[in-house]
Amino acid sequence: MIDFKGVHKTYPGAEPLHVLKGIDLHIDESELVSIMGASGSGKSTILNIMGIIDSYDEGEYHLAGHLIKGQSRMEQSRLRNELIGFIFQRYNLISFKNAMENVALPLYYRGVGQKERNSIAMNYLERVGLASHWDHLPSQLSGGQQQRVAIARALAMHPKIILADEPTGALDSTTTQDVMNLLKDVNKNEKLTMVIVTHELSIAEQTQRRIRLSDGRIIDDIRI
Amino acid sequence: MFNRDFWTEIWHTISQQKTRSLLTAFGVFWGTFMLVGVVGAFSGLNHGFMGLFSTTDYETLLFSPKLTTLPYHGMSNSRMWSIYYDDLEVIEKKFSRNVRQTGGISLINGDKRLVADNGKTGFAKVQCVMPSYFLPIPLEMRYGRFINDIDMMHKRRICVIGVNVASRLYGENVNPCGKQLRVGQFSYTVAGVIHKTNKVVEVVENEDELVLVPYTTGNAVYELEGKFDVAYALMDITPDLAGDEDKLLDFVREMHNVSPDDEHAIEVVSMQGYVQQWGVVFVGVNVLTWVVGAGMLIAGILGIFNIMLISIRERRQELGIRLSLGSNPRGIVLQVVCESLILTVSAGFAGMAAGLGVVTFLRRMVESGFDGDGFLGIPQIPFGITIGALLLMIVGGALAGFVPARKVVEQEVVDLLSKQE
Repeated sequence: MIDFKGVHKTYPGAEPLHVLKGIDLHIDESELVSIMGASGSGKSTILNIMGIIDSYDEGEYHLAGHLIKGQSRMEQSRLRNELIGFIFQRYNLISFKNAMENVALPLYYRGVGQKERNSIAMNYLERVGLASHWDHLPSQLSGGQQQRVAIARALAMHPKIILADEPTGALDSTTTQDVMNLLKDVNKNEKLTMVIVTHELSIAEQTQRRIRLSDGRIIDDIRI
Repeated sequence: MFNRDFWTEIWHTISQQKTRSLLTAFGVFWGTFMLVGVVGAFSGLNHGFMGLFSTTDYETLLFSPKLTTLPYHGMSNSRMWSIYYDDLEVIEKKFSRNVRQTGGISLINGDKRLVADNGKTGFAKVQCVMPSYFLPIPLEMRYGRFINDIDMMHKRRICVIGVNVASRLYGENVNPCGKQLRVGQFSYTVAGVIHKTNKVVEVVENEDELVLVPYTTGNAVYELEGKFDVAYALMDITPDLAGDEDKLLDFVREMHNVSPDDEHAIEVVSMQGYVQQWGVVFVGVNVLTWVVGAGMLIAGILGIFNIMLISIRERRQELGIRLSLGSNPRGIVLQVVCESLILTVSAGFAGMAAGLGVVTFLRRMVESGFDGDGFLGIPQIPFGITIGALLLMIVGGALAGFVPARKVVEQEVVDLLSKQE
């Protein structure tokens, strides 16, 4: 599903920052993978490249058989919409849309009609326990609730891959476990590939495969 | 094909971001409103002036004798000379090919006491004029008639009074024709009431405040010795007759032994010169109108660019989220452009409507005659230019959305999501 071969990434600047130094990584369908590492180790950069929201300089990245380098932005958008669901640490919900509209938004970009996408959005909100909060704006929801809306939004697209960047980073411990249970449940029932970037060992310990990064290189790749 | 979802999404974004949308719309509204309002209001002023100085195919030359400043033909300087009633016939003969009409005016010194037959009294100046007086002076008859050739021939004791004199003596909207009016020691029958239609042109006195009597009558009763204070000649101004005005003035000087080089010995007012002078004012008003209007338009367009730039900058993260969820860059640009277009078109039309409202209001005010002096004409909207300006605003609005949106979508999505630029 995800295939990195010798991927390098350097951020330009007065002092260019070589963040990824030749990453070789293969992730299969339905895998639940965590990527750990210290700040600046390159873990979020890997996730962003996986999600085609950032570019890479050298090497090859194949997503579901598609070589990403050289693809047009239009094609990249289509792949993102069809294959990937994002869960961000800061939720990234649109502030002026209510919970249902946020969940339905990716379906709009897929061309699903309004009635159908609202119905799908309500189903997923129900699944994350927020059906009664469908008309709440993000500012009217707690951090945990916002993250659950973000998860519902990611799931509503029926993606092949869920990419979660510190999904529990802004949550308290009880909510963290609720969110993790939800993600594990989705991985198990929907057979989705799930990559979670985290710096918390307790989160990584709940995944089947743990990858550790240091200074832009994979130093550990353990399957449980 | 109409995509309801697309427009619903756009409307949702606009309506949910009221402050941002209102700020964007206000710039456009103000630009078109001011353009239409300012151009319309100035057009009224312009039409008013143009109406006062409508161009004619003849020149009205008014000339009056003054003290000479140069000795000539044995005559010393500082000599007062006169233009006489009999001179007019000589001038008409000499310049018969292009002088249509001549005439003269004499103002009787001092205010005369007026006594109406209803017992009311007042004071006014008396001016002795000829039937052609109507030609150089923009007047209209309120009641009765003006002085005619028969009055002149028979030295009739009739008078024509200014509208203000009539109001004071007989009351507003009362026709005093046929009534007796005592002016100083002499009695006259009121033959008509005049109103001056152009307050800018003033040859001797404001006619609304005068009592006008036939020149021949005045000459007899006030012992004018056939002299005029001001004489006038109406001349054709075809190109082949150019320069005849100067020849006429030289001829008048020659008739009265005034040096042809004595510019100060004869005071000349040229109505065409007046029109030309005011023409400069019209040009100035026009230039000012367009400078102000174009300034407003440019300010409006710059306002849209500015607000859209800020708006897109504020929306970086939102656009990043949309891109991360699978919106394609072209769709994002199209959405932003459509949002901008909806705001500019609706605000542009609203501004235009408000501007038209103001101009219509002004039009009604002018038509109702609130402007007694008639300086304001009917304001009009140069429709083509207004539509052009609106189109320019719309194009500006579309570009204002397109340029920053395109710049944004060319960036990596992750950079947009990071909130910082």
